[in-house]
Amino acid sequence: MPISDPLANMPRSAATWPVAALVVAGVLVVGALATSPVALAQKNSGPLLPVAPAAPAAPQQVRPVTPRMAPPSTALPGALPGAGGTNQDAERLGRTLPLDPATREIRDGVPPDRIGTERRLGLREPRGPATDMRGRTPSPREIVDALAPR
Amino acid sequence: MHSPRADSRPMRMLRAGLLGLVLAVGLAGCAPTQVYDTTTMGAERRIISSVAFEFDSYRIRPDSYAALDNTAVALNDPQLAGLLFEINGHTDVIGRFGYNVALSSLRAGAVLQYLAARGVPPDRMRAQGFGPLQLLDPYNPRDPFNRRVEIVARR
Repeated sequence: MPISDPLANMPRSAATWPVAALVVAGVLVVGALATSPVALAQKNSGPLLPVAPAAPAAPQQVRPVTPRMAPPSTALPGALPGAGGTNQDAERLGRTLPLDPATREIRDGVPPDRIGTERRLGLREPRGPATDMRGRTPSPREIVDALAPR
Repeated sequence: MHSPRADSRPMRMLRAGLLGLVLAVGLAGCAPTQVYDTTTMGAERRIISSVAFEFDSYRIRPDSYAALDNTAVALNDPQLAGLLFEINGHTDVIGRFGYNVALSSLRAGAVLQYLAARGVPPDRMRAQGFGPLQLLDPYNPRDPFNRRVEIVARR
């Protein structure tokens, strides 16, 4: 005896659309969850700080104290081993910055108008992901990979 | 009058087709969607370098030379050709603000000069001193973790 489809006895629209509606609703819910702003933000987030530890630190190598190349003749004192770099230079430069005296003299703090202060100083705020390479000596390849545009 | 068997087959086909269509639409919605934030994605990237300085000074410590030499090699790599580099100095909040901005600027300048001496074209670099304006850990502004030099590569 042929097995009859129970839905076949129902009117066509009544048999088909409840099933389709359920499927559509389910798929739309799954789609909405997958494309929600939170899901997309997680999916597209780069190695933003401080979640971006680079590769584990390599064992510390003993390096010669002298640089590989001779010190540059055009370098500022700070770039020359054993020369200059005193805090008097910073004091002098600090007095010439385009800041009002009250801002300049703020102790242990940051001006309330951070963006305005950056603008007055002519600074461009960096954007984009960062890779923390502190505490080790990254290879040139690692640095290129971290800085190359994607 | 139609038999139940004759009616069920087209209905099953219809249901299967509808289900396939709906699944296709749903899967398209779930497929990975690349969303580009044009302000950051691909536009610029940065590293926090392991440059260390003498205390209260902008003299680069000798143990940082190796990292800076590798950085110079990297910045001259063909893969980074055409990019500009910003050398950004940062401090924590301890001390006077003006002094911290100046010290971070001098430190960034020292790194720039070092890299220039190792063949990185100076006209592709710019030094900036932020002082404590860009704290890595704003909840612990006095933490030495905030002291750093960043190198930004941008178009």
